[in-house]
Amino acid sequence: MAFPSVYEMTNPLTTVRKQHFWEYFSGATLNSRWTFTSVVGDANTTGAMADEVNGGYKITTSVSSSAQGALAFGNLSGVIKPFSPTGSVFIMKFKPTTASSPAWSPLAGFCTHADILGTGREYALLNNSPSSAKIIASCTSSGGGYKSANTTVDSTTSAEMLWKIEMKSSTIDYSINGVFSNTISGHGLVQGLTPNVSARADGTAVFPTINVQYVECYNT
Amino acid sequence: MTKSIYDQLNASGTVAKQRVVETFSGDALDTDRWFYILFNGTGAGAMSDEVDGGFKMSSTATGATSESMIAFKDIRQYSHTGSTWIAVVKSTNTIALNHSASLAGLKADDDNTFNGGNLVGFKKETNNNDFISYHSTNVGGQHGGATTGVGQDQNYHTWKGELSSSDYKLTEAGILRTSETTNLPVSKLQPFVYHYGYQPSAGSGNTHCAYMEAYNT
Repeated sequence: MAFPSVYEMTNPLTTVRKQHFWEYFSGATLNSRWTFTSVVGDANTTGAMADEVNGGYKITTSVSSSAQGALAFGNLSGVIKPFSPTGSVFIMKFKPTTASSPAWSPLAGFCTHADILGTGREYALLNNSPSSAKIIASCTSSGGGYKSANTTVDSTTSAEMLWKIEMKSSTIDYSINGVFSNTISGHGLVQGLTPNVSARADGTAVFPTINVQYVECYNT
Repeated sequence: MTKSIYDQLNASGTVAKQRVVETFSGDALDTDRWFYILFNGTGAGAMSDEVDGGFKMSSTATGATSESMIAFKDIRQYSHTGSTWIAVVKSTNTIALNHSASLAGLKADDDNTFNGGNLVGFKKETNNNDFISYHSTNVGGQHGGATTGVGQDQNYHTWKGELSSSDYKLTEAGILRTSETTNLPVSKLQPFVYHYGYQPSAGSGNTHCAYMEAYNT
């Protein structure tokens, strides 16, 4: 036995634990901490617990071009943002399926909103978009503007993947499958953040589905 | 490295006892687990849209009191003769309050009776300079409240209460603050967090809880 309590698995009792959660996406229904929003596509963009081995929670986009679904701590009316823009970590394990090339499959990380596109957003994200040869790291804020960079990892239409985004005082570190990829400097984010897992179709023939198997976030 | 959380929390060959871990993260309280009660006055309980905000109970009645609590709706799975709770809690206020209190720990009933309330916990109350231990049997007048020696503030603190058949130990920041042997609860318990505030003028008192864990030992 290594630990007397779950608390002490990640923090000694001598330090005050900061906001920290982990989600296994296991069960009959999505835990109430999350809200799934069909940002574009109405009822044709759906989310549900997947009746599949290692299925987790599945976001399915379909029918319309740019159909977009998002999993976050709230909906289009507002989100709860407990994570720090200058000291927090986002970890996600997922499995994409075949997607049309410009799709987000997925686009995920921290954001200030449930719908990632629009004015006034701040975010730090990774994007598995088969239109790019590499996974794309990006961030935006009013202070830092939009910044992006190719990671060192190829985009994929079927491989399971582990993403990690580390928010620091002025930089963001991006890691994939346990290997550091790159840093974006001068991010300029100042607002609290919610985890956001988004998928979007951007074609009319093949639509992405995302099986999200694990998300963990914590302030550092 | 074991891949099992079970194995990291339980010695090989032992059977795990009841345990709950609540991280208070998300856009809504897990109401499959918790039950929010506004006993009186004007107040609210909701996930806090603040960095490290956790779940926040507020009292906002002006010139009056407000009391609220979250608990397990009287599903009592924790032993009064062998259990532990850990909570990360802070109390804040936007104005000077005439009277306020924040408590967390294990309690028999999801009510606002504390003197004789069958509970163990910590307490921050305006009547005291320091945080105190608070515990009671099910009989009015049979309660204890030794001082922890930890001065009150509006910051998060990590509290750990260990209850056995013979004593109640309260730890803050990993340091044993109190150990008492009388006025212990006499029946099964549930986790709770409680907030009380009396606002003399417009403003609010708040109790935030960012983590709660309880387990039988």
